[in-house]
Amino acid sequence: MNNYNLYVDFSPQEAWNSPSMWLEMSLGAIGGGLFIISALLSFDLGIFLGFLILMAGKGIFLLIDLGKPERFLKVLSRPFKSWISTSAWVLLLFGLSGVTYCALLLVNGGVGSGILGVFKVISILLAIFLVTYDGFLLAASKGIEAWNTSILPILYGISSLLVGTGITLALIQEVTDLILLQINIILLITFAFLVFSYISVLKKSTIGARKSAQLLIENYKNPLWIGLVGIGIVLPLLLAGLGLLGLVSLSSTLIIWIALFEVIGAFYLRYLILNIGVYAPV
Amino acid sequence: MTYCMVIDLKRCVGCHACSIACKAENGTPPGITRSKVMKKEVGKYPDVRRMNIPLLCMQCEEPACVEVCPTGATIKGANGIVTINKEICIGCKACITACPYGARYFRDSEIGYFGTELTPFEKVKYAGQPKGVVDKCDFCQETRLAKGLEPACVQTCITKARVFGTKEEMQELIIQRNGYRLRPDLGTGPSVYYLP
Amino acid sequence: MTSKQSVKEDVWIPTTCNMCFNSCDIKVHRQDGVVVKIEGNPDSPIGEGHVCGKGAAGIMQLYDPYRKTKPMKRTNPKKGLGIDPGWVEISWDEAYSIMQEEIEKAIAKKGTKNLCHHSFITNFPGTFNSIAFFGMTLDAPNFLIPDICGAAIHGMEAILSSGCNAAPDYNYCKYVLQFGSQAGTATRHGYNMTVRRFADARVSGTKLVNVDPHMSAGPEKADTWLPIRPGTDAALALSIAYVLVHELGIYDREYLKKFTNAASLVEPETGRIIREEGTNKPYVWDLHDAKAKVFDDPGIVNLALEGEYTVNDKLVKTGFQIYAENIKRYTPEEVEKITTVPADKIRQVAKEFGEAASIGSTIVIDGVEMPFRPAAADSFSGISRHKHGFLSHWAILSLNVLIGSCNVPGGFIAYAAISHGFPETGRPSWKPTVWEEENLLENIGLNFTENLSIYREIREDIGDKGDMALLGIQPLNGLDPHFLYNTQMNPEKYGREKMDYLFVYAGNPIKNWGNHDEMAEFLKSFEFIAGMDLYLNDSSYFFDLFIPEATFLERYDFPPTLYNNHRTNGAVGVDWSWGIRQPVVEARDNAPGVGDFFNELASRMGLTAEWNNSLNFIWGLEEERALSPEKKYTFPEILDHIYKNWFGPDRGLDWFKENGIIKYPRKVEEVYLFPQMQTRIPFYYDFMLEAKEKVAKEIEKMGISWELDDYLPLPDWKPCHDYEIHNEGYDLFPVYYTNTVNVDTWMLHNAWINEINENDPYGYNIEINSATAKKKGLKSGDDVILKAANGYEVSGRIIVVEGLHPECLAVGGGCWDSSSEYMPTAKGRGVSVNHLVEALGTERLCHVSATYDQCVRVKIIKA
Ligand SMILES: Nc1nc2c(c(=O)[nH]1)N[C@H]1C(S)=C(S)[C@@H](COP(=O)(O)OP(=O)(O)OC[C@H]3O[C@@H](n4cnc5c(=O)[nH]c(N)nc54)[C@H](O)[C@@H]3O)O[C@H]1N2
Ligand SMILES: Nc1nc2c(c(=O)[nH]1)N[C@H]1C(S)=C(S)[C@@H](COP(=O)(O)OP(=O)(O)OC[C@H]3O[C@@H](n4cnc5c(=O)[nH]c(N)nc54)[C@H](O)[C@@H]3O)O[C@H]1N2
Ligand code: SF4
Ligand code: SF4
Ligand code: SF4
Ligand code: SF4
Ligand code: SF4
Ligand SMILES: [Mo]
Repeated sequence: MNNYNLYVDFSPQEAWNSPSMWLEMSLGAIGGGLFIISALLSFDLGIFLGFLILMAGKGIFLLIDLGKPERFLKVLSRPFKSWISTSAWVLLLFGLSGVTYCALLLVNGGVGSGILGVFKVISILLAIFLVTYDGFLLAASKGIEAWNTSILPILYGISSLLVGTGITLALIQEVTDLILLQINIILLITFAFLVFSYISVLKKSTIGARKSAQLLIENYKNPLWIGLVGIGIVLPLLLAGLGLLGLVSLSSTLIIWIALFEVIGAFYLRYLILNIGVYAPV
Repeated sequence: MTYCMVIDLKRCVGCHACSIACKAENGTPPGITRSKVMKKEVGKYPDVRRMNIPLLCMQCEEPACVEVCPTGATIKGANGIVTINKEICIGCKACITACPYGARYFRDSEIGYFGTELTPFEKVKYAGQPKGVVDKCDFCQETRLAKGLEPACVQTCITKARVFGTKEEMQELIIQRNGYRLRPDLGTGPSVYYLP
Repeated sequence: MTSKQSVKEDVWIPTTCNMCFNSCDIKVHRQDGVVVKIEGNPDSPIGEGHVCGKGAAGIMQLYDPYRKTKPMKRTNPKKGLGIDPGWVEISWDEAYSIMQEEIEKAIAKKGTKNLCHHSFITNFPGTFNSIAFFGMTLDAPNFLIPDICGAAIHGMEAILSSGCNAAPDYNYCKYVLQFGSQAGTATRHGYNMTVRRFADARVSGTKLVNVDPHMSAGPEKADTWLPIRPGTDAALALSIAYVLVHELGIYDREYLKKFTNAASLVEPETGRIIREEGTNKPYVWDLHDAKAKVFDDPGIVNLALEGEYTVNDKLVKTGFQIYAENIKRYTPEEVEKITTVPADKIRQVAKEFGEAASIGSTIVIDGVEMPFRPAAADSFSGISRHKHGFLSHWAILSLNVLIGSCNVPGGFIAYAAISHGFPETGRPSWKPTVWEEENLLENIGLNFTENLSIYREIREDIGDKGDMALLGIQPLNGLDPHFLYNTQMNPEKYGREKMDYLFVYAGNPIKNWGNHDEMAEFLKSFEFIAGMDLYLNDSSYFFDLFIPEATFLERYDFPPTLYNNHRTNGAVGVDWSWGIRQPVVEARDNAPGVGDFFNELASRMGLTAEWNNSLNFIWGLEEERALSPEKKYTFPEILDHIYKNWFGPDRGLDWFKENGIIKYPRKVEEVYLFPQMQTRIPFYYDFMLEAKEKVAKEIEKMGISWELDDYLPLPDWKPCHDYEIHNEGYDLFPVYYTNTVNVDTWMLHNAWINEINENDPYGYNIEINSATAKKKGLKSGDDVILKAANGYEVSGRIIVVEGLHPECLAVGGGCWDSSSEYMPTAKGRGVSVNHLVEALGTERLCHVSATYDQCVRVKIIKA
């Protein structure tokens, strides 16, 4: 309603509540997850796609979100001190190692070699950093108490791996790969557990965080229950569960639906996290 | 030496003179309110108080904004003042979400109070307010301290509620009047004190 | 950070602020021709180097592109809010000729009484131009002022302090009891002179009690807030008096005997004071000799303040005795029902107030010993905006008399009762005179100082003067011409002729009173209206000629604080100070100041001699220092005369342009009237009854109906127009308040101020008490309509609060929500609750002092 109420009342954070921030976070998670899982499975299509989505999604939208994108190189000034700076370095390194990795994959035609393995491991580690990084970044925002929790990086990481498995499954079209589907289910359950832990942590935390919990449960109940929980967790869990139990056929369409719902869930998660960020009264 | 401001809430009448003097001195464009005065109701009718709480950058001892800044645009000086180098700032806004005191503003356009056509005053003053970067109170370091003047908000305060000096100079007043800081639980260590 | 290029010109120019009428001394920073900062002038006691938010925002007015700077005339004859007047720019020559022709036309038709001018506080020194031109040069009797604040109160202050403006002596006062005012926290005369002193006082333990239905800035800073049902303050004040007199026995007997007429003997049936044949001196009772004596009989040994006695076989009582009996009705329990203020709170405040007065104590200031009464009751606009304003202000301020705090240290003192003048010239100087037969203090006028006497006026001068405001039959209302609305709209009824010509200077008549549609009819009743303003405000939709004025940063004005007695509240340690208003930058399009304008108009109309003589009178220019009637001066030359007259030949305009202000110490004798003047103030207002008799005769002669009920010898409470709920559901009172950053209808147009208002949770919204909101099923953010039983309505958005009386709604300003296309920032922002009040008719007017009752009950409806 107005600016001044802001700091005597709770006030929503606006600085990072932009579509580009949302897309940056969501696409980063999707691309990163896909890259990590595909790399672990040596699934080339997933590796290439994941790399592209992560680099382009994160890179472009991060740039768009800057007030002075032309000065983006300055962002490298404070590695190890500022999360943004550190992540910029990581993104840069990931770009280099990822490009090399992909190039080696293309050149070697997928044949393993020592060098390829090294780049693979490095790239996966950097990608793991990148998919959890947004959580660390938010956690470092002292002003927004709902974000000041170590659950966020884990939540973001698990969410990323979840969509990663989902999409990989859908891309592989190897519906018989039950292990991957089981992993997906485990990740879904972990994710659900983390989401609820996060909410219960918020509820017991400082006043700003409690306000966010309230916002989440009251003002954002539809995106929370329908979007994140319903579409992002329950539906894929149901489909995957029914599939595993053989109650529905494990068709490729089913897998695509599962992946799609999980992607939607990933978007909802980040949408919610950005929207419930409030400053507490001083 | 660390600069410090004390705001006496017993004196303050919530007149906004500080806010507007700051606007004039530092030429802050629409939406950027380095100095602002909040209203807060405490209690229930008829046992209610309406408080006026002037806010500005707290020039924290442990500034959350400095920590997160990826470029080093925001730094804490030896005099305790946290400043923004607008030549370096990339406008990532991490400092805005980091600051618990709502002290930071992002300038997202080049307009003035009357739209794109700037007034003569704005033409002169907005040279220091480029688009795409962040602005905040710097205890008037650039506009006034450098010239040996006290901050504009302090200079104009019509009740003399605002006192400016070094932490050492303020210590006695703070202790004597039970001065306090905002959100001490955050560990930011503000250099702005309030007297009840 | 300013522009990186090197700055060639960098100067600070002393002048005076005009963002409100307080005229603080300022210094304006100009760099390469651009004003970059306005600061207070630290050398001056008027502002002490600080500017308030409005003052600092003067820059935004100066450079506001919406300001009009070329004269214009209307081409569309149809007048109405929202109807495009078809303004076309004209030359200054044409503007002057239209002014001249229309004035001459109006005079030719019905004489100078056909002219009316409306002006007052916005540019206070500027107003003296229209007074000098219309009132004196043309000798036109009719005028209007926008104020609905000063009615009754300035008169009461004149009676009690001689000053026409009085205030608590903040430097020494330990207990301030404010009614309907935010003096020293957000508003009032000399705001920026009192606000720091009052803050000092708070820190050093001065208690503030504020009576106000709304938690305005005054209550915010108060130790005790007494939320009250609007229009019932007099009952509260009389109840405080009741507790002091009847329960605690705290009142200053010595003061009442020595400095008031409370001991005068009164005949209960007639209510009149008994007097000595011939001298007309009142009788008092000497207990020692058990005998009536004239009040100043040197042989009085033991003066009776209380009691009943027999004089010439008739029962008489002292004035104080009757007062004490009268207030018996106002027990805290009874008054709680009227005011909603709990009885125990009334007792608590009465006790604190009485004890704070420390009756009997004395103080020595600069070697002078005086009574010390560090407690004062103060009242202003919130009290004036009701029907029985005179009685209410009186009930409140008489508390000061009861505790003996008028005109003594710590108490309730005039802003500048006495001036010995600048030491080198002895000018300007003044001192109140005395009404001999009763040894009562007379007054020094409100605007420029002149020796006036309410008592003489009542004795000699009651009678219809033919003026539209009927001031001749309102002897206790020297100032407020608001009956004029009714005579103009019903001239036959009052034996008057409708006026054809109106000049509006720096005012917004359609918005500053009551319902805007009724006010539109009033404005339409004039054949021709010229308006001089910075903007095309709401009222400009009814103007025929628009005359732009330069802003205060672009023009000269008369010495801004005039005679220092209207807006500069003096005190010990507050120096006398006189300043200058001068241009800091060239006026956009060379628009003139109001002084330049009238000076030129007078000359074009061949009235230079009359004009110069008017100024000689106002400014006391005499002998060789006077303006020569033959000569046409420039406006700056006129200012030069004024300054030299007061401060000697070496200190003319140029000296002031350079130095900004002149100041010199204020002496203790210039601050406190008692006991240096062995004179008195009235406690029992016998003269009210004398006035009543004469007014009664006069109205009979005039054949008009007129209310006489408020002519009482002692204060009383009477219910307002809408005190009772007349229509079911119409149960809430909208009230309005001023905050520091806003001024009347125009300040919200300032872009910096608007930003503050937009961010203020209460800013443009309607406050409603949480319990009331709950009862009505409303919540913050709901859009509502406020509807009065008369059918008038306004709309707005509510915000639920705690700091408001449950029977009230509150808005800032109450006259905002501009309808002018030409003021886009102000347009549609805020809520104009005065639109709900019937504007015309006399039912809502106090017939003693012309206060206007804005108590109107409304229904709140969810939109
Ligand atoms: N609802 C409501 N009604 C009120 C009041 C209230 O608080 N609320 N207050 C009452 C009181 S106490 C008063 S005194 C009156 C005030 O009533 P007005 O004196 O009529 O005040 P405004 O309506 O603000 O109109 C002032 C006009 O002066 C113009 N102006 C400003 N500066 C200058 C200048 O330097 N030169 C010229 N030429 N014009 C200038 C502004 O543009 C504006 O149009 O209103 C009374 N009516
Ligand atoms: N910043 C600023 N200062 C100004 C002005 C300005 O426009 N802006 N205008 C100047 C002028 S012309 C004037 S007249 C003065 C006005 O100065 P004040 O007299 O202080 O007027 P307001 O601020 O309008 O305060 C009136 C208060 O009375 C309350 N009130 C309403 N009805 C009642 C009632 O029945 N009983 C009681 N006890 N209270 C009631 C209102 O809620 C409000 O808080 O200020 C002067 N100073
Ligand atoms: S200028 Fe002083 S009194 Fe006014 S709001 Fe600011 S701190 Fe308070
Ligand atoms: S108040 Fe905010 S902007 Fe200022 S130093 Fe502290 S964290 Fe930084
Ligand atoms: S917006 Fe500028 S000052 Fe703030 S963190 Fe980013 S680079 Fe640093
Ligand atoms: S210290 Fe200077 S920059 Fe900070 S709020 Fe005050 S005036 Fe503004
Ligand atoms: S109180 Fe009035 S005159 Fe003084 S600085 Fe403020 S606006 Fe200007
Ligand atoms: Mo007024």
